[in-house]
Amino acid sequence: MYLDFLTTGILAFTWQQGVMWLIGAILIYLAIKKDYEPALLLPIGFGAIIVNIPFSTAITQNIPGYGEIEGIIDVLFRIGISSELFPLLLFIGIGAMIDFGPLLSNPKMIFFGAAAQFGIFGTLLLAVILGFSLRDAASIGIIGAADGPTSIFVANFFESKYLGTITVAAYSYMALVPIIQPFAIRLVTTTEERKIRMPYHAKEVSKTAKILFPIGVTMVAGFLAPTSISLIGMLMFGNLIRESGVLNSLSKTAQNELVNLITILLGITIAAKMQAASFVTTETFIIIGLGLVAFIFDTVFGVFFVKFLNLFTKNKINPMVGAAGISAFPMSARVIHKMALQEDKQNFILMHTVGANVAGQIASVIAGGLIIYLIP
Amino acid sequence: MYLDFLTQGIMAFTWQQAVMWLIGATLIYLAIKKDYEPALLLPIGFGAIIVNIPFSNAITQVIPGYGEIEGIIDYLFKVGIASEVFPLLLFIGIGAMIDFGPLLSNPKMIFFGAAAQFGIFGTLLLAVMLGFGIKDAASIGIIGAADGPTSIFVANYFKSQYLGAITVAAYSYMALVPIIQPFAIKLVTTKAERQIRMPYHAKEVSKTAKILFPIGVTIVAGFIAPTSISLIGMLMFGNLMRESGVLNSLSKTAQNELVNLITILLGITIASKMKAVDFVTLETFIIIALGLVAFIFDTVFGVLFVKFLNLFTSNKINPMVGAAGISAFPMSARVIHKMALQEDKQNFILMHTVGANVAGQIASVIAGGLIIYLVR
Amino acid sequence: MNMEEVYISLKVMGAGMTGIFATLSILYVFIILLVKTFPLKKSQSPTEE
Repeated sequence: MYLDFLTTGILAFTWQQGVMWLIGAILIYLAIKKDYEPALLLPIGFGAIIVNIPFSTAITQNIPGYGEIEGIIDVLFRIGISSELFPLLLFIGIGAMIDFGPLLSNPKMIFFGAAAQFGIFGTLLLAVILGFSLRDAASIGIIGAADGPTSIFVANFFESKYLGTITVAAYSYMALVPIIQPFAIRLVTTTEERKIRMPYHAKEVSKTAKILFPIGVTMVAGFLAPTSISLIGMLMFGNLIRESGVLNSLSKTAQNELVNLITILLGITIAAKMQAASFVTTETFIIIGLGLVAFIFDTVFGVFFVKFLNLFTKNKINPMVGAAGISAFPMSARVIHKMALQEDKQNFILMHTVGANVAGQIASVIAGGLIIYLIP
Repeated sequence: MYLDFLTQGIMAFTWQQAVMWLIGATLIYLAIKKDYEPALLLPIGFGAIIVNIPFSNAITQVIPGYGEIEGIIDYLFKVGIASEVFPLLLFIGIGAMIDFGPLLSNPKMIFFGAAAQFGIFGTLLLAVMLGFGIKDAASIGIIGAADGPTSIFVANYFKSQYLGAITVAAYSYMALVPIIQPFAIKLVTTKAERQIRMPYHAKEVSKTAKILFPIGVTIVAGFIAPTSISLIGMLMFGNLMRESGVLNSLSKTAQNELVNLITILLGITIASKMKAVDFVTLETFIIIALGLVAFIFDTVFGVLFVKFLNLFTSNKINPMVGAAGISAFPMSARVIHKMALQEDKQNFILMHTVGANVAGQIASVIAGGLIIYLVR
Repeated sequence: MNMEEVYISLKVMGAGMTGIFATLSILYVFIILLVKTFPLKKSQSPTEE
């Protein structure tokens, strides 16, 4: 019939695409109604819808008479994510947002950032046991870095076909930190432990120290884990712009316009890896499950690490601080600070949790670099 | 050994890379402490560090099992500088910043912009005499344009391996204009000459003239030197937006967000050409020296040109105005204005120097286009 | 489950956590030296340093 073309789309619609629309709708709902990482989950949700319309020109299609026409989402994926450009540019902005002062004035906290990366490796092992290949398992494990750009960077490096799922899981659980972490922390601590008070001696740090910090971190991390240089280098580049004191206008642009422009594109671009045929599979559900495990591993291991240290020290540390060593900044620091206040109205551990939290940012990036290096 | 990988980086560190770290640190120091073009020199300095860490994944590396992985700095170089996108976009913003009013109300000044380009060709000749190939010599000479984006544009056009050194030299000497120009001017002028007063008849220019100016300049320059069209076109495009009066929002974005976003990336991308093996060479030092010569040639020739004119005219021109014909805007105009005030508290030549200075911006771009055309 | 890959994952876990702790331990020492070498001078406000 002459007007057949108006119905070809709806007739080609598959139930898997229907499922993807539902997933997209749920992500948009969570973003808007629950305020769960809306800057990422809303674009991802909308992207999930537009790539799952039959014959969508947003993705690459073979059009008779014209050959293969590359869709915008696929173009953006190629130039923005395959090249690692978007996550790395985002890191410049994130670096410009972070004040490492609380870590500099309380450097012990850096070890909690290290401990809370365990979820990456624990989940990697679990994924391999469940039958994923090493590279896919490593990409799944990196959800435990609790850092969106790092997850995208690593999963893309391993050319994992699960990149879409991994990104959705990473950002969803980051949004769910206020629910996951208190639950996991209560599992492994007593009220007594959560009430441990920690004195804080506010130490101001000199401007010179703050300027030299990003440069030194890059050099040290670069020597030990050269595969983390692009991530840590961009993060610290942003931070150097911030702390230099002579580039305030650039620092503001990095924190606002740069981050906003990239974020607008990042979420919708991820949808390139959310096409129904490859997304609606059992693996997706397993990966979403493993992502939760990764966040719980991070939290629990962080807590245990502090408890272990407490066996040997006089000045007991509140074990919850160990859980703040994940990279989800500043959510984790705030959530755990609030938990401490709930147990004891006089217990202000915010400066400690923030210190551990920014250390987690550094540690997760180094972990990402190391896993790229270590996986054969 | 099992943990060998942690020491691989430091074992592979070369003394040339250490030299680059030192150069990077020096540039960062000059940017922060001396406020020398911090928006460019700080990113270049930081970039010089991250590309010179052994096995840095910020630059392209061959990784066993994965093949060649393009690093972010090399990727940005490909999409941003090899394509000329960054310098040209920067020119849109610069064009939106410049008010050509002082030149329109005092058109004679345009000749001083022309004269002060001599450094480009003088240095080109000198570089050829020192044994550089003609294309490299032209790239080195363009440091005398005293304009960062033009230098990058031309050196990239000639695919010069010295692009890193040339960019560093161009921006460093632009920052040093307040030292270089007074020194060079005093070499070739007497106190009496520097005291010459110049009357200024403020002439308001109509809006229509200001709108037609960028269009006319592009057409004229385009006919004579078509190879300068992309540079002059972008510059005048920005200026047209500024003067149109109906695009204030675009003009503001061009001057702020656009310039800031590109600047954040431009400096660190230049570091792609600052890998130790290519940079720590005798040629680099010669180029740095030739850059200084170029700036001195510009200044001296500009001054001598005015002195020559003064032989024939009754209204003597202050020869220092000739030195303001370089492109380093608005530094040169201000520095020379201050020198005149030092010699004679009543001698206000700012409007003349600004006129010559913006003429220098136009002339340097035309010079860049001509040199691309002439050198083959 | 591929036993060889499980073995590799365990090795990656050991090397990875060691690598992170090693790197951050050096950073710990670096921070302490940094803060000691460039202390905040009492007479100066942080912005003037």
